[in-house]
Amino acid sequence: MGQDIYQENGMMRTLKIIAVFLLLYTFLTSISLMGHAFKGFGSGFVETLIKTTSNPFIGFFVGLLATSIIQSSGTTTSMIVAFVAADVLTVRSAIPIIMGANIGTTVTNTLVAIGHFTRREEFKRALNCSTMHDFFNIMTAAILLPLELSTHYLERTAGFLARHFCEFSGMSVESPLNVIIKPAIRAIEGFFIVFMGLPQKPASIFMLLTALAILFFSLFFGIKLMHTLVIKRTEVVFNNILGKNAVLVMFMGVLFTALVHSSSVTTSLLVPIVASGILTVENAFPVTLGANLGTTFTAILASLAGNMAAVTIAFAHLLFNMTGIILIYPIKAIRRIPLRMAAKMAEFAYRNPLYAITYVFIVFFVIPTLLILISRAF
Amino acid sequence: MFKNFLSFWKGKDFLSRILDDFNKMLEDTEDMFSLVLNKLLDSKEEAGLKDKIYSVDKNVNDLEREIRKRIVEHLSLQPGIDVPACLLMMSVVKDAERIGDYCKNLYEVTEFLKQPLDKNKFKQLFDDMDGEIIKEFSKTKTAFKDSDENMAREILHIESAIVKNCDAILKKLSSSSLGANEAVCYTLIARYFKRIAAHLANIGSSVILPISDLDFFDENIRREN
Repeated sequence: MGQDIYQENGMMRTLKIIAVFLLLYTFLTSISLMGHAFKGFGSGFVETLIKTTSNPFIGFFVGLLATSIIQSSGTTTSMIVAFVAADVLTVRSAIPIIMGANIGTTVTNTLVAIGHFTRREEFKRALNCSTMHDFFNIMTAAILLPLELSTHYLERTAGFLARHFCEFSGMSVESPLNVIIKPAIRAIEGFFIVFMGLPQKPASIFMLLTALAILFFSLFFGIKLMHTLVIKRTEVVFNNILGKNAVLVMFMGVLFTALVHSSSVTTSLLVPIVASGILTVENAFPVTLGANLGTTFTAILASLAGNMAAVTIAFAHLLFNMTGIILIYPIKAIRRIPLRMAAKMAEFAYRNPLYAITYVFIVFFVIPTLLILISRAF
Repeated sequence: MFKNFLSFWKGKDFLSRILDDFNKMLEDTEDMFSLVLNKLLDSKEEAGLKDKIYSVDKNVNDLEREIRKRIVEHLSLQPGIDVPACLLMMSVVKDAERIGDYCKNLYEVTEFLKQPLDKNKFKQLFDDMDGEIIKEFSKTKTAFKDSDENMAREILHIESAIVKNCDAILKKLSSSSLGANEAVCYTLIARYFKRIAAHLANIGSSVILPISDLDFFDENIRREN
């Protein structure tokens, strides 16, 4: 009993770290490959896509629905970065999609909370914790979407930051990463066009599918690997920090999420701990906010394989989440709003757990689908 | 803040920390038992003993809660890792907490006594049972820490003898001519000694028993000893 039975040897750890870097390479390659694929579709397709997403409300609900289905804002935002890098989407039309994706990702921890439904008190606490994230992100979008549509402050500020970042990192000439990614892109393109002999458009479709497959693969295994690499140390920090200084706790949320590339992993870990009564929702809140910030790291990473527009949208994502925290968290009366809404939701679902399932189904799937269809009709 | 973060980052891993805390629980309860025995047998009471006993008992209870909290956090963050160890710890911390409670109860017996215990009478009834329990404390700490199966069997042997003797004492007391106060106090002492020995045996035997059989002793193991 005196020995930790889960001890990794140095060799295994080294192999995992090498694997993480390999997956990072494949992740960046997939982003770049997506851009290449879209370029091959021709201007007609791109124009149609831009037209479709030019309506910010459609974009917002597309982001929400897509992320609810995929259950990964990292995947959705990485795809958006790739689309922006390929000029398939403008930064302006991508921002509402990012906002929607921010809400869509919260469905995962709500589904985890619903898993506690057999024990009512536990279920109530679990749902309180998970929907706190939902309501915070909804509140942030409710404030910032109209603000962005009227002032484009996120686009402007992110653009300013992106210009300086690109100059500093040398991306204004060419992304240094493209030097190592290009050979892989050329090889894949060459496989479909030269080896398989496919015409441009079909080759582009296959390239896009390949890019998506590589993206999912990279994120899925990357998250798993990083999780095993950092979780032991995170547990030590978690136990020492949780419930103490909110800024420190938020920083921990940022760091863990940035390393693991998944806000869903971070927020889902909190649910059973809050459900057991060990942590209060108020103490879990800063971790959730940290997760919101930490997840933007994935998009920033993806943008390094792109261009300045890609970096702009990645920074817009970061600024969106930062602004939400700055507006809502510091003032107690405002901070209480999403907490109270979550508590009410939990109280409601406590009477009948079916309400929780209905809430997920309607908010994350029915409403976005209906509103997309209605917006397209008009 | 950064210095604090660094110290948090370098902290001990989960199992090491809860084992350290559990060891502290056993040390605290052993101290409680010794202090109470001194008062019981030698009427030696250090100043502020009552407050000290209650305070140490509170620490033991707090450690139990802290260990349980960490176990839940650990299983939430790393499900599937160290599950048997976690289940075992959830069980044995309860035993350690109960030992603390019984030591506190023993102290309360000293307050019931109208006059100090007659040492000779005590020796006649209990022989060296208090010494055996002290030995059991020491062996339990070692057996648990080092997963020493031989020592775990010795603990079961000690406990078995104490249980038999306590039952014999109760039989003797029921037909004795002692005054009500003395008889009740001796009965309670026998009862609490038996429970302390049993909980120590639960902890020690966890080294040799599967999780599903914790606190249920195989009579064969007892007979082997």
